[in-house]
Amino acid sequence: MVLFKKQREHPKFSRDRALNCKPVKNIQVYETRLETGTVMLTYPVGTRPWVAALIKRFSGAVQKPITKKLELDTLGSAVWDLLDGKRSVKQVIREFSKSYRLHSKEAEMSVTQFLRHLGKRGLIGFKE
Amino acid sequence: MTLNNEQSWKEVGWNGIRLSIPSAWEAGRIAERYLLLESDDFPVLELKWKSIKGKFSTEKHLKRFKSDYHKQLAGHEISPWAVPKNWCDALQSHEMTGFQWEGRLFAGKGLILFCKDCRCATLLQFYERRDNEKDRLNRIHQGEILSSFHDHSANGLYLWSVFDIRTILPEHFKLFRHSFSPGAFELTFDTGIYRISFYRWSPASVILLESDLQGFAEKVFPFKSCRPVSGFSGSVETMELESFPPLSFWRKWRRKLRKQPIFKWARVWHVSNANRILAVKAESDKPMDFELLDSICSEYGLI
Repeated sequence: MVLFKKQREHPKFSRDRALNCKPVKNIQVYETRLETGTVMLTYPVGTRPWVAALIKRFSGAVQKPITKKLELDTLGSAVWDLLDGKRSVKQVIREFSKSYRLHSKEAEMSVTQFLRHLGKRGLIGFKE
Repeated sequence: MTLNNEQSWKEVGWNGIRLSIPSAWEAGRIAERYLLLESDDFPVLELKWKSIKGKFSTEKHLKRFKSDYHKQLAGHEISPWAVPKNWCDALQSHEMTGFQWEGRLFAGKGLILFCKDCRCATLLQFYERRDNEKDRLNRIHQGEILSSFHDHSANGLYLWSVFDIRTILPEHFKLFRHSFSPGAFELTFDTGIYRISFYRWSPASVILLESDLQGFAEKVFPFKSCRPVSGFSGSVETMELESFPPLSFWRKWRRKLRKQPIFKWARVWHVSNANRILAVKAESDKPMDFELLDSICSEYGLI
């Protein structure tokens, strides 16, 4: 029995390399423009196989894919619109900061935090 | 400001310390008596300071510095360093000791300074990435930066200037609280009589989409039974809120015991060309001095 599991080493990823990555939208995400000009994202949520099997057994029907909705605010929508798969994170920060006349550090913090949040939900991926 | 023709400069002021730095440098970490300045997100200059009671000892400070930076130095030694002439000339009024160290990624050259006039000890060090040409080029600015260094003010007025906000305050305004979150900055000072807070919000164009300036002022300063009043400070339109509730003797004492201020005042204004909203809030147990508040508001602005 392994008592002390060796911790897996995470690959080293420099800050500069991270900022040069290009965020790409997940093709399964469906976006709707609301009247306010903000964006509503609808995205599928994966279920664990055993959960799907349980649902199938008890309901007797094949489970429909579960979707979730996420409404972005004005700033979130502005960042989302800048994600075209060609711009790097650094370029997105620069353009976002320019359009709202934000301090570069402030823009960087808010954009990276927002992209991290989108990444965790699987709404975007990053390519080098 | 121009010290060197090719380089644009800006002033940084924080809790008694004031110096000029290249405009590309930015505060990376801020604490009550600590500043880490960065260029391209890498540290370039670090300052740590405290006032000394009793006898000042360089050795004691170096020892403390070694223990603080134990991890960063990774076993490397701090060695004494002969301070160059331009550095000595720049800081003539200070006692100084030079030191240097080399770590795995960075190397540092610094000074432990002591000012006899204000009895302030400062640890100041320039960082340099090993094998980075740009950092080596920064060396040419070091003399100019040091010559602009001040740890006390002759007229008792102190500059507070970080990121894009700037104000000048008298010495007795002591920093009580500070926070720099994306979109919202706050600096709060305590004078013993007043508690004065400075705010900066951005981007104003987005904040003011939901409500106008009056609505925003009401939301951020929810004073009881008080409506914002529109006014002018120079040519800038402002929203002012005042809360001076007529309290009974016992209610006044209850507030005092709970440390709740009786008098509250705030002014909010929109700097449209910079897309920012600025505000000053004052709280006190004593009636407000509006002349003082006016002068505080006029000194507060954007860089």
